Amino acid sequence: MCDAVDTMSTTLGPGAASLAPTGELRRRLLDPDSLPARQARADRLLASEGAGHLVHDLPVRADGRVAAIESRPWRIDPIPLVLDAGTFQWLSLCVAERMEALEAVVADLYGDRALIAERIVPAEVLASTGRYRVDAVGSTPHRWLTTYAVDVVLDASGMWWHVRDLVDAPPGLGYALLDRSVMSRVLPDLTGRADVVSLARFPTRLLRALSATSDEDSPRTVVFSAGIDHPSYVDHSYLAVQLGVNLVEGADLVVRQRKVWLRTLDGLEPVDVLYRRVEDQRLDPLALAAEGSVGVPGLLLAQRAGGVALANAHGAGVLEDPTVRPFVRAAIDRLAPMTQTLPEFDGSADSFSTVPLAPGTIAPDVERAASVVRLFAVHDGERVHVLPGGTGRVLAPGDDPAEPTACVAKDVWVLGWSPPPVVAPPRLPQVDFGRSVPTRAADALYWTNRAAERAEAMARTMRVVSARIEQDPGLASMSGGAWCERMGAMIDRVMRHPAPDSISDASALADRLSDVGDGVAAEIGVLLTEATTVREFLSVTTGRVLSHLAELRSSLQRRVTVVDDLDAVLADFAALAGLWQESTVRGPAWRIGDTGRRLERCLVVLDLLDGALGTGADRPDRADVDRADFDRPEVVAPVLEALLAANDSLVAYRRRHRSEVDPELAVRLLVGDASNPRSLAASIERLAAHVDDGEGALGDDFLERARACLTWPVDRLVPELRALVDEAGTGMVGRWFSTPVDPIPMTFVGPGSMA
Amino acid sequence: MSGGSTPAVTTYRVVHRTTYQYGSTMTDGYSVACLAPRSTDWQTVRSSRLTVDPDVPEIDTFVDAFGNRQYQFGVHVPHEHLVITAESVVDVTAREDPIDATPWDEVVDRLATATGATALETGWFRTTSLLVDLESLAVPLGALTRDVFVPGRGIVDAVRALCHEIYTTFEFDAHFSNVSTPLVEVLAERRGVCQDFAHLAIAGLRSVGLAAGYVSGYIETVPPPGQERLVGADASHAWCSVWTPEAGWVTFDPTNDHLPANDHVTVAWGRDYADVIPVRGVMIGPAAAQTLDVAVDVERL
Repeated sequence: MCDAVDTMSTTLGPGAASLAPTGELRRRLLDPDSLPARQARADRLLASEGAGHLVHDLPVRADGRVAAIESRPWRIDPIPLVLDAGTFQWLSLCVAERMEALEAVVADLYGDRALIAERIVPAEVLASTGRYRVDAVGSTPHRWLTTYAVDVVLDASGMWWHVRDLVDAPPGLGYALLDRSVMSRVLPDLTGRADVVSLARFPTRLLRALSATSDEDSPRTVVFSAGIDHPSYVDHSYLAVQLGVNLVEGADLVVRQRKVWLRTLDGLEPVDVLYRRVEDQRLDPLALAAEGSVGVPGLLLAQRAGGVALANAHGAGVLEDPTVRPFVRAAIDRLAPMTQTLPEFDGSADSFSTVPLAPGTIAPDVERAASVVRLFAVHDGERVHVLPGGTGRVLAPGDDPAEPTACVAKDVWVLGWSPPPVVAPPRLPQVDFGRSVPTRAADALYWTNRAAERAEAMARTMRVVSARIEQDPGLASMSGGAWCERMGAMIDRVMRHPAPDSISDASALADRLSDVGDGVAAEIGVLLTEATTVREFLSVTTGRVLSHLAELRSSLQRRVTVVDDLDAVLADFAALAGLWQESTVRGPAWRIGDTGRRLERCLVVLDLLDGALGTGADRPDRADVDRADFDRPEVVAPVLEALLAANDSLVAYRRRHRSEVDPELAVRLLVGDASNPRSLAASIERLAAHVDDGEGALGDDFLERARACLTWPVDRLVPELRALVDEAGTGMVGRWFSTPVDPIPMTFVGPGSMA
Repeated sequence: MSGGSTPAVTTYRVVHRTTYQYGSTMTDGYSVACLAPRSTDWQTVRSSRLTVDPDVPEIDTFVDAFGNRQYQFGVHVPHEHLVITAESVVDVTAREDPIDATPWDEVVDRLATATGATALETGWFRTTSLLVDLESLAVPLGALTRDVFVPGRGIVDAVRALCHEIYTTFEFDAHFSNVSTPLVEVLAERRGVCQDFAHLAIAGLRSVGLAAGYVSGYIETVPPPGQERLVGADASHAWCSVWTPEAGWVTFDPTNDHLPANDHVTVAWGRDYADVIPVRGVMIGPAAAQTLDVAVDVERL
């Protein structure tokens, strides 16, 4: 290996100055016949693979920084960057050496401070930046840098340059794994045949490295994120899923007795290692020069006391400060001179190696572009492991490699390199994740299910009404528009419009229907947002269904809704409901989600009954239509059919009763018939089962009162049961999730001032 | 102040009580208190005790990067108020006036090239800090420092002159500023409180290249003739210190235009107020108006 390193210089020679695939691989990757299809598939998969489904909605850039110019979706170019085994071997040596050197530098800045005493890093520079964490001075973590990322760039002469170090909460590893997952599906035969080194083992290495930061034998690790508003949230969420650990936010954690605990439905559970995706300054609002409110009060006290390990340790980010960066190289030379070094990019090099973009697909105006490559490393307590891959960011012409503006990502392939032998995975804590539900996750699961049930009802109602009017346009004008009025009322109720005007003709009904698409899209948006924060509780298949819904949502918003689109949406909702029943471990998480679903289903049935039967008291507009019109059989039957169909119960009715639809029988099927899973009785019995299972959050007398309601006439049943369900829902949310958790700063008064 | 009749050692009891009333019930709260006087060459801490109401199960302490003792604790039960009381007894030995005639510009040169312990000790205090932003102050500070820092002037002499300049050209006004009033505003309006004057002096010293720190503590107040001393009517106080090669860190009080001898009780020092806030923290609960009352009593024993 040493020979190989010695013969490798920073200059690989003019012929090698490219990250482009060559030979047969190049011919096949650039095949113009398949490229557009691959691009389309990559776009689709990026949205659909795991947590990627919100990518297009969030202001993310591939490296996780907030877009400086505007928020733009990022895409994966289906042409990867390619590193041969020798180049990667040499680069990974450089990365490993630099990571070790930076560890020594950070340890000195907060420990012996020889660098400061010798003025290699001036104290004045450190004192004036909040990124030198005063609270970290004197602290002695096992390691300062457990994870590390570095941006490098290849110039046209074949010289590799170091662009910048990422040492605080190095972003992008989740994206690297996600990019690869997408690429291996876009090019399944190629990734296998071209000898591309797999990234599959890296999450295990990372988990092992994280465990090594703790004294515990079997530490409990969580990914600590700033939440869904953070531009890198998808990165965090994808990593949590890959690591198989909980994704938590500041409000999920609490410090007691110098230890960190996770708030779960079962109470507080200990946390030993925080893989923090939150920047140094935001970790603890009690720290000096703390910023923001996403942190955990007391976290740094716990770290100092050894009650929790942070990876990376608090303070590591100082090396990212632009005023400190110019001194880093000298600091390394003083403490840990490297044998392999990359020249440091200072903005002067203007000729970077160019790599092919897929012609005619991404960025058609850029025929060839350079890329900055991000490499990732972890330290497991014994040695550095470098990810045999990475992420590439395409540079727009004139881009500073440290601040790329283009939002095009490239996968990085290492070809033909043999990784070191497999490491044994760390012993993982025997935590039953079926039982361990952070309260915030419970909240999200509850709302995910409520939104799914509501969106499904909206879509089905729209589908039913649209199809009926298509089949039988005469319905619209029947009995002075009585059918239209009822359909409009059903739509309004299921859409939760507060004070709708009644409608009585086909064109008004068509207008009302066209609004439903937006309503369904908005509800899907809520569903996707909530689901994204609990990605680790949902199966992979569920993720795919959600991303498919995300795509359908855009077509709903574009108002090109047709019955086929609605059928596709309804199929997805059916899939979600089925996955929730069949692929979710029974436990508190499932029960909470299911409780949300049943409560919402009760409300949906009540809304539709209310709209179809006109049970609501506040209908001042009812005078417009002759009351008797509603009672004519030719109106009653199609209204009841639509009511049953909107509740997915029409087939059940027909199998049971051969007659024309009878009001009493229809209502019974939707209200008291527990054998119909769509009925109120079925939902209430299901809620009763959850109460029996120990989640007695609905309140003691809810079931008793709800069951009593079912025996009442519809016009009394609807308002009473609705009030009861609303109250139960509010009470449940209040009891479990609505404890305020965001810290409020205490005011203070300066000396001498009047308070 | 340091007349012949003053005893060499003065003993003070200081009680500093901070009372928060929250408009509603907080479910959780976390605080850091920088209220324990530190021991110095001229100050011995006989006792120092922190009590919290509601009672807290434990109070953690740690020593910060500047050597100050900080208390940290949490109230994890529902509460509508928080009272933090620090009671300390300290012996303060009267100090002689410091003597160091090293030209201030020579001190700047030494600091700029200092290595070893001096670099570690002074580097913190020579640059912009959270509340002392030299960049925004550069121009207005020139008027304050121009006549004070004439080339070759002895460092202690220059500091006395700066102190006097602030004392004579700024007006003490307890109602003008609060902790978030920017220093530029204090400079423009020429009024403020001890904290502002301390920050101003620090900014002036740092702007010419010297090392200056912020000192938080208490000063003994003498009631007007014929009046009783009012218990709890005192306040916490702020002054400064500057590094000199011969006399070490020299403390001075721009609010009172003098160099403390034995009437100041030192609690903590840092780069500015933000490093040594007496009580800070967060609480968790519904957002509501909070009121804060601070009562300080400095009693000579």
